[in-house]
Amino acid sequence: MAAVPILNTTKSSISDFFNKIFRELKKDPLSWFFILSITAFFVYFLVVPLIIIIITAFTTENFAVHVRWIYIFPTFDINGSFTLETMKNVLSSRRFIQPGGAPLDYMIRIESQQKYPLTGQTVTYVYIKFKDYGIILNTIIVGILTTLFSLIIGTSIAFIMARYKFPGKVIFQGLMLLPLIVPPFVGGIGFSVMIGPQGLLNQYVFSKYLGLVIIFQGIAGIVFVQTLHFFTLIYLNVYSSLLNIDPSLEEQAENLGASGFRLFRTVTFPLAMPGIASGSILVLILAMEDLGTPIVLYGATGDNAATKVITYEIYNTIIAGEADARINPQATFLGAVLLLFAIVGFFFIRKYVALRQYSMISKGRAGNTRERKVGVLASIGIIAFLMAVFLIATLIQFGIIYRSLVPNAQNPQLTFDNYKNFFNTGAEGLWIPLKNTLMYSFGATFITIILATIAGYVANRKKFPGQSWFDALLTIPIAIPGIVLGMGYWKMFSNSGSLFGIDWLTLNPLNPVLILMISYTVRRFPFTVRAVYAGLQQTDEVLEEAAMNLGASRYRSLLEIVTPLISFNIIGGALISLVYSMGEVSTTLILVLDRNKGTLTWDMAHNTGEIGRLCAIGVFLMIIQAISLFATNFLLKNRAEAITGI
Amino acid sequence: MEGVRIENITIKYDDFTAVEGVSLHVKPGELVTILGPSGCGKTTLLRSIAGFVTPVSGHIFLEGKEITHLPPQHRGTAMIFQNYALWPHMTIEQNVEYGLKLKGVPKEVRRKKAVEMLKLVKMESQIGKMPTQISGGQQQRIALARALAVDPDVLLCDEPLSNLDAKLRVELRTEIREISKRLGITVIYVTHDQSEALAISDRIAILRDGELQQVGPPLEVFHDPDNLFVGEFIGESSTLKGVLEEQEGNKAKIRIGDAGLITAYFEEQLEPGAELKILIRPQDVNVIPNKKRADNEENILKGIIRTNSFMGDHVRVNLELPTEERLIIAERKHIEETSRMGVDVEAFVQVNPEKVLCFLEERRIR
Repeated sequence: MAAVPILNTTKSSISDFFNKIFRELKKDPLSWFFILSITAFFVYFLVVPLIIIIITAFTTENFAVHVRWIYIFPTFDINGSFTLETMKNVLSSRRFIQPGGAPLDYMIRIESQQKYPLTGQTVTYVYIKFKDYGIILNTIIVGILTTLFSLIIGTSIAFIMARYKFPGKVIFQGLMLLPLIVPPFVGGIGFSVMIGPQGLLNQYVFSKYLGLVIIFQGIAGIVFVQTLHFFTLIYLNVYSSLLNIDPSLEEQAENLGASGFRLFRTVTFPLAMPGIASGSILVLILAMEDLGTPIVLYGATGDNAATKVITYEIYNTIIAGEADARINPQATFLGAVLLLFAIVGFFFIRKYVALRQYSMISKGRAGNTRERKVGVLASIGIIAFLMAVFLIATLIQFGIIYRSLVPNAQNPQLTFDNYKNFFNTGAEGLWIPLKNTLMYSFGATFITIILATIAGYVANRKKFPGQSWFDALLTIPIAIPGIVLGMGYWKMFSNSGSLFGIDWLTLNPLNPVLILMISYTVRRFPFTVRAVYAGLQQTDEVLEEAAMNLGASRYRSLLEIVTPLISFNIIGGALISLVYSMGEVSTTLILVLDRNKGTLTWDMAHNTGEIGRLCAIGVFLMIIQAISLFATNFLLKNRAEAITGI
Repeated sequence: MEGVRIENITIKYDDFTAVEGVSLHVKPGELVTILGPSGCGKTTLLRSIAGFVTPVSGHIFLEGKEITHLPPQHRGTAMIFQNYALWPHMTIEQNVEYGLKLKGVPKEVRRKKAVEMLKLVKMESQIGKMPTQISGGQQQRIALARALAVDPDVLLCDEPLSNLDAKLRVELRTEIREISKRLGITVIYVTHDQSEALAISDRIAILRDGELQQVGPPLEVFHDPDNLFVGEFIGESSTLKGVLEEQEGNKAKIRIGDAGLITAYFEEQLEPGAELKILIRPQDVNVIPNKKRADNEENILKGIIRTNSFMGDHVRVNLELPTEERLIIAERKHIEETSRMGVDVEAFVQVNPEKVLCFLEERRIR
């Protein structure tokens, strides 16, 4: 008998449940439409391609996963069975993992009494290289070293900027953003131009005055280039963390007797820790996923050792292969390894960013910062340090500008030919890549603005089950290696059984424009959605309630109340998405096969030997980036999370 | 016309029950305040009428139509908020017109109505300004005009005056009452300020921990509270512990420890020795200036004056009783004598037995 009431309750609770869902859908159908369609978009264009890569990495057949489309739903035909063979092969190969380092390899090598070809002088060559520990270990080492050096430089600068007052501080705050303006490839070129074997420093300074030629090779070269770029990410994160610390927290500690290093160690540092940690992990992930630097270090200096990292290895198998053979199980396994680091790192950051909020508690005293005036000597020290960092970091930019005008190291002559090339509509000219770049990235940014505004809106304003996963889905692209996503797209859209029976990647005239724009949208989405989110947090929800209360639907309140109020954030975020889209490398290189469809970065990757051409493109991208960055900084008031996407 | 009818509403946030089984009928043209301490669920209740919160059970009717699950924009309510919620990117006029624009009212009609509403709240001179250019009090007037412009079936006010300074609060609250009465509009007004509630309401609904305690006109809830919470929450009072000594008919003698014996009136028959709580309002106690007179009077309590503040029209005395309880007195008759008594001296006070309220635990004894 007892079963009857239980049955009744179950029945009514089930119908209650559906009633609740139905009511909820009826009450706010638009939000649910947004949530579901954006989730579908990201599952479709982010999760599915990545799953395909992971499946491929663990199946026997060479081209194991075929995606077949039933209407718009992908099905996976897996030829072959589950295997760990690829993993075993990779992990047991000395090419990939060599814990002791390659035999006969060196960290630093010094060769004296050598002839320097450019000047004919007798010099001492100093090679700084780092041993080859195998491709996978090398990648991890690059990540760790770059993070470590970036951390030391970035944190010091952040602390100085947040806590000390010295002459020219405002100028340095502006200057320190400049190293952020390094488009892909260009860092490597600038590096080789300045401190490559034939670089300006070796040619005009070191060999002449010191009798030295200093050459960074392999891992050391990559770390050098990356550090000069990535330390700014740490600087921005830590700086904003330090500014967010309520001064009264530190004053309270001082009041109780803590001071100097003890105060820093026990109060300031723990409070800034979330910023430091999330900045570091971001740099770690980005350094490991960087493809542009190895390509150019190899292309511009012929340094074979610089190619011994995962990204280059994947890239190399792709450009060497034909059609489906472009992506083999080994490449997908390496991709899966990168993906693992990315995903673990990403969730680590999320945890820390959530923690970051506690430093904001009780922020009652606006404008009261703990800036300390420093003496003349300390000022000189600080300025000298910042100047040194700035000069070394911007050496790269100076190098690029110089080489775009003076392309030939052997025969230095000023020329504007490389810039004129932008207007050359011929096959060799840059007009087509420029046009393509603008078209793709503006197209992607347009989609991004619409989707990110909507997504940021529902993520911020609506409470729904699975919200934190939704949020993770929107922001994880910042961590996903482009090269892995690119491989996934290739697998997903290039088969004969592709969506609607169309091979999207070779079909003219769409090839591969549509998919490329979508990939840009997905990859650069976090920047805009973060900015939108930040804007919404500053916009009181009550403003919307007031509108809905007077009869505005959610759609109208989004359009007429919210959007105008967060327009600066949308523009600022979109500008960053735009700039990073223009500099996108990985998916572009994988998806674009046709020169006529290539972008500026595609052109750069295929002309690594033509320094002048590369540098001119680099300067162009730098100018666009600089303008966007400063505009964004102005619009968003130095919000690190918008610039770094975290 | 039947105003707003709330039937047995329960609202939960996850496991927390914010409002439990509340029923309330606000008649057309009536101004009802929902009063309670912070966290009592009053704003949640109001937001459920506006449609921003969905109750887990119960029904809400507006002018006879059930609106419990209707989206906010289809309800015909208009709300004013604590922080005004004027849209900073629109002018004052655009703010006021917006609701009409949503209804598709033509531009000229809209403008006419906006001007009319702004005149009503005495803000017509600010029509072209932006919200950031005017003060808080002015912003709330604009918000009121904006809400009234759509001719809502009910005006919902969510602590609209909490962010304003004391003087402005008093000024605006009478104005809100005046305007709502002139327009004959139904108003539900949420506040934690009991003096605000007393000043403007037709009826007050007192809420505590999500449950309705009492609904009634200001005089009634003030003089005739149903329970100790309402008695203590509305108006100023002192609560003393007392023991029933004897009861003859409705006349009860209650001992307040060593402080003295007072009389109270209630019908309910209790056993001698019953422990009661006695609520006495400051204005219902008088200081007896000399001891001799006190000896001959009834309802006398003795204690030591701990604070003695001259307030202009009355003297406030804080009396410490031998039971260590405090009794607050607002002396209006013997202002000078009381004032001269100073502090830390023994004093005798007389309680008006007609006004003494007695409670058994929380429950009012009548």
